[in-house]
Amino acid sequence: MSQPEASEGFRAYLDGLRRQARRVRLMQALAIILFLAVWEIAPKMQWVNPMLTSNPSAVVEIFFTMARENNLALHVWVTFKEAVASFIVGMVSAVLIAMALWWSNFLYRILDPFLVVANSLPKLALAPIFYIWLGDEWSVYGIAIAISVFITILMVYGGFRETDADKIKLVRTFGGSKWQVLAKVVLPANVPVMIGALKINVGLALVGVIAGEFQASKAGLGYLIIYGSQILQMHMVMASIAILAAMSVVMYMLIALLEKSVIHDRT
Amino acid sequence: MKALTARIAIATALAALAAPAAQAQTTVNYMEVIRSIFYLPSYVAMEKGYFKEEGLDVKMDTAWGTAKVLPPLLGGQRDIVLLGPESQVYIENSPSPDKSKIFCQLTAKDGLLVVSRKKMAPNEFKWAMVKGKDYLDWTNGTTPQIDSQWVFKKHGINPQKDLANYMTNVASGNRDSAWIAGKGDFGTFFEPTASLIERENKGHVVASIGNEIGPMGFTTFMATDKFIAKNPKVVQGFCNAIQKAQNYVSEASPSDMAKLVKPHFMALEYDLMLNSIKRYQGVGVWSKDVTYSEQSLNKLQEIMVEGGVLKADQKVTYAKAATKVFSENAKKAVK
Amino acid sequence: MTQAETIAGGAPKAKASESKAVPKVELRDIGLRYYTRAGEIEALRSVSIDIAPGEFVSIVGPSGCGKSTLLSLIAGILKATSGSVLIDGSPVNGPSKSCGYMLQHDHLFGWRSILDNVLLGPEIQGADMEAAREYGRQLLGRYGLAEFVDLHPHQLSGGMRQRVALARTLCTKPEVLLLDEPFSALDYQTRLAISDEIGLILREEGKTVILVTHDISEAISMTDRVIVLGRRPGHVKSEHHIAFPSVSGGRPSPFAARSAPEFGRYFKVIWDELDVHVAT
Repeated sequence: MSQPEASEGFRAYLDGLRRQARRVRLMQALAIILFLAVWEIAPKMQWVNPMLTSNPSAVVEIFFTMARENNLALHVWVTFKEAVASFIVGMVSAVLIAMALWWSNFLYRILDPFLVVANSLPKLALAPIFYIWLGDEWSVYGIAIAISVFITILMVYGGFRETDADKIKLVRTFGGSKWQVLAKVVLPANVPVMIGALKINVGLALVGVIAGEFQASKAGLGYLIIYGSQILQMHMVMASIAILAAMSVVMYMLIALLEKSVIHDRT
Repeated sequence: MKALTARIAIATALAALAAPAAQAQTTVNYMEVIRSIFYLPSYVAMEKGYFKEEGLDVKMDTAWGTAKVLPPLLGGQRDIVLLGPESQVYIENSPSPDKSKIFCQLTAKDGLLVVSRKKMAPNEFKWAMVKGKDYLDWTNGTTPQIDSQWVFKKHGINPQKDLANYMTNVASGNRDSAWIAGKGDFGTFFEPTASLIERENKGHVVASIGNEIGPMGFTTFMATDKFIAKNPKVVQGFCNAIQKAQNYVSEASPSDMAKLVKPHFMALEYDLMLNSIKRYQGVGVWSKDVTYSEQSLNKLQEIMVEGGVLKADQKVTYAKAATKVFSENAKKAVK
Repeated sequence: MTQAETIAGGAPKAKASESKAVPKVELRDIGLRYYTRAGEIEALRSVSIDIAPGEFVSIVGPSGCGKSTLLSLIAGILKATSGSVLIDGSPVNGPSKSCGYMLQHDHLFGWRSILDNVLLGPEIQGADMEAAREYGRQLLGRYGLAEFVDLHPHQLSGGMRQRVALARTLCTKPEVLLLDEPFSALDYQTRLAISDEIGLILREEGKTVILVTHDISEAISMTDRVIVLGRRPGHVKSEHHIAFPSVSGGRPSPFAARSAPEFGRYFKVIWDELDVHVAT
């Protein structure tokens, strides 16, 4: 099949789309620049007290200082590995639990109210209690996993339940077992839901890890934030927060990439 | 006769003008960093009406954290704050356009007490005993932590090498429960936690960091340069009230004082309050000398440099950090 | 034109034209009740149908009369409350490899390629995948879909997808085909074209086919026998053997059948029987 020559009108249409996309990008870049400009100028003009807000140039400077003197790489690594590990454990256990709930409706009915309550409990407020139960190291993972696992279970199970009943009927007509239904229909059909859950969990895991580090940690970006605020070094605090933001963006983008490669219009 | 009545009239008028501003009450927005029995004299000043006598209507609130005190202080929402003097060193070194000064001292020594899990009397305790043990200290960089680190050094102990586990990672909110849960063979605590631990038989006070370091102002009253310039009378009045309170504290009985300030410690049991006051009196954390001295500042900065939170070239001069004027006046004015 | 045969004192039984051989599919006095919190519902009562091997039968009836339920019973994914279902003389206990079920919508799995969709059945049944793959390609080729084997469902039109669904159904080489309104989701023209094609394919292959449909024209043009069901509860109302003696050269194609003179007569009779316009 050969494509007909693109007409004038069509080319103009495509150009219009490209121009609009460029405009969007431009606006986004401007927003970032404006934000950085205000953050830099406001303390210098003393609209706000520089001791309390820091500014981008100081943050950049202290970034290098921290890299040299405070072993920044180690702290970034600690938080990153805690977040990734909690994220994976949370995700995997949530999917397994959702599978169990799908398998046994009886089990689901028993656990449902507990899951709903557990989900609405503010886990961050319970962070000190996690610390008491799990101790230094494990409480960080505990909080991060607790924050993400319940909402993920509810999301993924919800998706499983909504799976097209006729597709399941189809597998049954071939004589498929419940296990085959799960493996051949329910799981593949719900990959979009699971990727959606992944995206949410990236943020939640980081939040949980930092909250955990606030409780009792010797290393990590949360530790640096506490240390910096204790010695009234706002630059250090802001730099750590900036790194955290960068980390979550990177993780989110990795998942978006995963999404692209795994999902080709599945309707 | 006329000349005499005229003189009397003038003298009376002058006397009336010179009378203390007790009639006009000025509101002072005061913020303390935490609520603690360690700050006893400030509550005494309130309950005994010393602030009122100075014409001050002090409105107090508690920040529950050093970092939370700074924005209101520097932003002008609070007139006078109670903070550790190390904050003043940080403010001097910061890019803040508004600077502040320490003008009066509340506590004269570090109020931390060393608690041992194993029962022993204070005179049995030797610092070498912490070697090879777990030590529950405060978080890295805080004044309590750098203070105890300095004391370790004084006794030739390297916390990183000589202790089995030097715990500086526990958030302050979790320390008490961590100790109760069994973490640490030794640890440092303020009152009333130390008394509480003893009462629960989970530990015994064996030493005082304050005595190890010696006199060094630990908690001070601060105000911005702007505020001090505009309201010297208020600052002086405040200082006078504190001087009166310190005088009272040095003479009154612990039980009287415990009853007096009880309204500020509704959740604290009376016997713990009493114990704490007695202990702190024993250590000598309250002093009639309300001037924050240059020696205190020097010692503090030495400990801060030792502790790695201050670079040697960041030390500030006494003139930048504090002013003696008000405290010296108070010492003279109040008998 | 034959009329419903009634056995004195019993429910009408739709008998196969050649009643000597073992019927391919037999429904014996089927009754189905189901229970909900709201109450119990009698879906089917005393339904008895025999279908001979190679016969192409349709079941028509008003909505809710239980047509699709009959297919589910034959397919073995639903169990009757009373009576029995037999295939090749043996009772049905669950889904069997001799049945192929085609649903109203194609329900192709969007995450699988066209070929992998067709191979779903053999995969589930643990068949030899090499051979199945070969056969799957053949089927797709036969239906004009050879170039699409590696594409994904969203890239195909509705008519093409339904053809893939047919390939999927046939890939397990079932002897009995159960078609549950397989063309109703398509637009009218595609429908005519496809039903034509599929009708011819199935006759060539010699499958036993049971077609459930709303469309009387479809039933008459494609099938040998039209069974009319009544509802509340579902039961066999009548059956009509379809023949076009006026057309020479054997049974006409479904498309041609629509223009045959007999067509109109069958249509009227069945239409009246359905009582569509009367609110019962």
